[in-house]
Amino acid sequence: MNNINIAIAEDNFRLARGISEKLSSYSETINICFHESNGNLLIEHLTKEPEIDLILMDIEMPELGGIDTTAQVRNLFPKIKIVMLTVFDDDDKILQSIQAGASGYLLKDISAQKLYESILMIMDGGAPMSPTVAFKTLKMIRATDLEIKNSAESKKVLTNRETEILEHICEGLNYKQIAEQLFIAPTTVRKHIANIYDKLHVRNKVQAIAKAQRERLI
Amino acid sequence: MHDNIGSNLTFIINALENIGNQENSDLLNRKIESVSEIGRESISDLRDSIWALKLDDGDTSILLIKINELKFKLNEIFDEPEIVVENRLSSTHFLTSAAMLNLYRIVQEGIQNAVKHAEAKKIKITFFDTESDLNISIKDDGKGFSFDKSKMGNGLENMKSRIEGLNGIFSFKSDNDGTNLTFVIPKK
Repeated sequence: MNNINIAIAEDNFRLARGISEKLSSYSETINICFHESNGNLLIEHLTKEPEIDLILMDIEMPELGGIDTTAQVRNLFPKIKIVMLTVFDDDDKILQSIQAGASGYLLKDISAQKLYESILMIMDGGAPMSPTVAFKTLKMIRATDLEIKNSAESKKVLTNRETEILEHICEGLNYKQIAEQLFIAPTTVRKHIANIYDKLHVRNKVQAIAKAQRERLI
Repeated sequence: MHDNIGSNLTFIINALENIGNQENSDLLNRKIESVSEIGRESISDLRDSIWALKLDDGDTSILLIKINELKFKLNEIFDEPEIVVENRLSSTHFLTSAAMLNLYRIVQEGIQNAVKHAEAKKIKITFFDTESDLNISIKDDGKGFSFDKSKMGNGLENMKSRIEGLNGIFSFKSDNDGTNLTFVIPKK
């Protein structure tokens, strides 16, 4: 496997250093390329040094925060994956980040090994999701499904299988347990979740455009 | 305020872990691990407190999701005991934010006892209702305990005072086949 090039966006220098140190024992596979302390500086640096595979992104940063930065980076550098790093599991912000195009979130006090494993999983197309985020995702999708049904054509956003998987996550099952329940491979579960993330992202864009048009912004 | 506490705790946990990774002494490593475990417990308590602070009145479905979240996190850490959450409620029931927090803490404490002291293989949390009451039972197949010499004493007292604060009743049964804690609160 090729090395994974990582950039860190974090305004707390001590925490940024802590994260780099955690990953330093995996220097055979992971390069920490650079660290910037807000979204603007990060994007500026990325234009000069775009060979980054994954960004570990703080949510609360001055000038340009993590959620807006995620949306911009996903537009400018669609190949770069983004993982939110957060101290608190604030569901609303996490959901907003996913809608902006993040591939998931991790808590900042995660152990070094778990951080490493999660990075590998995300690079492999996986996307971690927790019950609360799954619950809110379902609620949100059901609400917009209803909205769409009432207005124009009614096309379901999620497939039945995807909805089923979200429901199992709400019940607190992990990917392995869901795979056993549904007689599918854990990698298939992961693929479904990644697809759900993509749909949330696209849906967010479509809605944003529709909203802008409605409000005559464009 | 809690942003700072959270960041500082995170820094301490990470710094301890990084020191541990460079250190070869087993004794020192064990000590570092136990301190960093306290750090993780504290930050997890802080997360729950923030959840409670922001919490509006809701219903049993919100409490169940929070409990499933706990189950999900514990599943990441250990395979055994297996945690099963069963919802046999005929409908969702209104809960104040205080009720949700107290019931969540009760379930958390119940799971913790079964994990730490009972050597249980399975913990089953069941929500069910009757005409007038909402019931939660926490049942494990561990080795049981006797109340007087129990390390669980404090935990049980906590659960009792939490449920009584909600005008509810707490009862338990424990023998060699396991422990069954039952909490009953009146429906509003």
